[in-house]
Amino acid sequence: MADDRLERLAGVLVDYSTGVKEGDLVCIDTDPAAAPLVQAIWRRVLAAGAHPHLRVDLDRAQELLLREGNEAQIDWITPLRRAEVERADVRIAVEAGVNTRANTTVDPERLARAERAREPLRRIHFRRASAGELRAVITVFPTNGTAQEANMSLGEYEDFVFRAGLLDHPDPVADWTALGAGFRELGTWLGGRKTIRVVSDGTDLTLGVKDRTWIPCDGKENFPDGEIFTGPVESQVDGVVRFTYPGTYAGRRLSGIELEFREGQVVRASADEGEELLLRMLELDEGARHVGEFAFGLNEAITEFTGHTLFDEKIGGTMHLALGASYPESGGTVQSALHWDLVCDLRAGSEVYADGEVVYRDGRFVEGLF
Amino acid sequence: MSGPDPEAFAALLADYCLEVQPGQQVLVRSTTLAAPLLLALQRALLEREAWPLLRVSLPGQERGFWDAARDRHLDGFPAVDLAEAEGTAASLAIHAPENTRALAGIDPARTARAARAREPVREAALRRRWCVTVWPTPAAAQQAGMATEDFAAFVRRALFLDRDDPIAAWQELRDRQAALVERLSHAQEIRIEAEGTDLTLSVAGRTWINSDGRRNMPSGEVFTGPLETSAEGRIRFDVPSSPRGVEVAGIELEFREGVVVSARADRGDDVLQAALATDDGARRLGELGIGTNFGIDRPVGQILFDEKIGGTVHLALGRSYPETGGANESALHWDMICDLREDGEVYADGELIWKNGHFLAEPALEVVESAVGG
Repeated sequence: MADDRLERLAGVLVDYSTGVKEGDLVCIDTDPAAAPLVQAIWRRVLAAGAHPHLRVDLDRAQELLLREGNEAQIDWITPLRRAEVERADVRIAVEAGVNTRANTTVDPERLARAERAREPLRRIHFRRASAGELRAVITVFPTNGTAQEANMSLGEYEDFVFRAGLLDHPDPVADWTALGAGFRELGTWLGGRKTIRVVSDGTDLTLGVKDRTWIPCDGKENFPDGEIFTGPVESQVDGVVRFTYPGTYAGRRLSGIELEFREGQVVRASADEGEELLLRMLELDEGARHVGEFAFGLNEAITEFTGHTLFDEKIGGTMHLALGASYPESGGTVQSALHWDLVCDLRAGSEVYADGEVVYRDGRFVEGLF
Repeated sequence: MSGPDPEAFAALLADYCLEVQPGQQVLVRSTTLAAPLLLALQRALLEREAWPLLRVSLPGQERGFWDAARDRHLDGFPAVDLAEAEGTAASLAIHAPENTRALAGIDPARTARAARAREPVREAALRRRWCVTVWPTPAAAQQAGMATEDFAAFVRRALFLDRDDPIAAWQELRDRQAALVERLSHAQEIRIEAEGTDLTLSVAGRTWINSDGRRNMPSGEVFTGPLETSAEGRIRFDVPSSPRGVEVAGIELEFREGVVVSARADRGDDVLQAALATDDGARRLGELGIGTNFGIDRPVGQILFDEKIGGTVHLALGRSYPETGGANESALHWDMICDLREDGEVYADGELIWKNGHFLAEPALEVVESAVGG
């Protein structure tokens, strides 16, 4: 793809998202299809005087491990990988799968096992990121596979992805910086509230958020970005939620998911499609029945569902919650091998109350809150 | 290798599907993703003293055409295309998509308009030998909800390329289907019974066609056009289908005097209702088919495979095929599949002839299945 948007994207990822500086060890994790973008990132990292380190996964390596590897091999964490997570100053992950359903026929038990095995790496990653020792960003390079999942041609999907990153703007970094400032004000205000109640068609859910931190997401860890999240108080999630969009897990699609919570735990779960998988995921470990994250999607340049969480959870006018692990920086303490985001559209007939007062209506925060 | 072997595949296409003769010009259309098969075909055609004419489209080329096409391109065709269709002995289309949803954003009216304009080219091609087949790609695997290698292995089994002698396997299937056609051609009335299904159709005087893999590779079905006013009862289709790129699942239809009088779907009901409103013929049946390919053991979201699943029947709303004697006219032809493998019976004039996916009068079809299992 001869596209100056790629150069811009590389510039945003290296200079803005991760702030690469001289001497940094920059680990780039990617798939072969992302080569055009990775080449641009590589050049930008060199220009910053840092040390790029490239790990290119084969499309089928993970699938083959899960299918043909023995349990010891699935559980194994190579010390080289551990060293990267422990020592990198910056990690840029560029996802570019060619078949979004590649893991569909893999045994879910083995998939869950692999997730559990990687839990120590995830912990190191989160700990170092919270401590400011690691700047890490994840992005998606458009492929025919993700385009097809979104029901689009590759060209349409490229336009969608670059629009979502504000890369069609003359100065994307300035725009992300300005958005970030607004998100931070919102976060400070939400940080003073004790309860959030979401009311929509099929949904009436109350979450305790007292003394939790709301994290504004302005393109530093996900790109594109645009959300604000917290970790609700673990014992204070009550009510029902019906997710308007399908959830995907390991290439499998689950639709019409409904969850009922009591004192923070899922007490009832159903789905129109994929209910069996949903119930199995809830059994993964103790934390999988808890809400690790609650968030509002704030990216107004993303308006449609495309079947990829990175984009779907940021759709402006939606909320999402994640079953499983919370992010320590939010104050949440749920531990789990699972972190599964489920998204609910609030753009029509919805209200959100903070401490009993309407603060959000039909997908937008009301004017003059703060 | 778990996918289709390009050389065996090319030999099957050249010797069974097209029966290529020395000196023939053979037109082959596909995408660059089918390169392994295209190169094997080139050699196979040359070895048979034929002329291979490879027409290979680039990634993004088809979408690019629809994006940039002017009125001239939608209302006509290049003269060379017609000359090519008229000057060649056979044509082969190999589906090898890079993105099965690449045209989702194109107005169907534009593609339909161009299809109308290209009708002379299509007719010229259909007067000669032709065949449609597939080469497995990651996009098609994704559409099927399968890992790429699993899908490639599935295609290999569906085309009998896992057999020692694929051509002999297809000839056997043809013979067994001929026996089935022979039995069915004496039938006046067909009744299908399964859970949620009790449908009666008249096929008196209609012709059953033996679809033996020469025009569709894979094939494995026999079909006819039921009498347009005969369908009575109800039927539930448990295999999803995607007529306009949107998946429709759990369709239930009720017929009276051949016409759909009530219709609903668990998912995609709006698509179903819109399709039924296409024209008068869209509410009547144009095809009754029986799938006999036991190398195809599951639906993959592509009708070329799904309607041939061994042990299923399918009915199409809309247009019938004239060679069956069917007279239904419609812009629609929507194949819907009813799985009879676990619980289903088909009666011909009151006599049970199919049970749980197996033809009772002619045990040879089950031999096909056991050969696949082995």
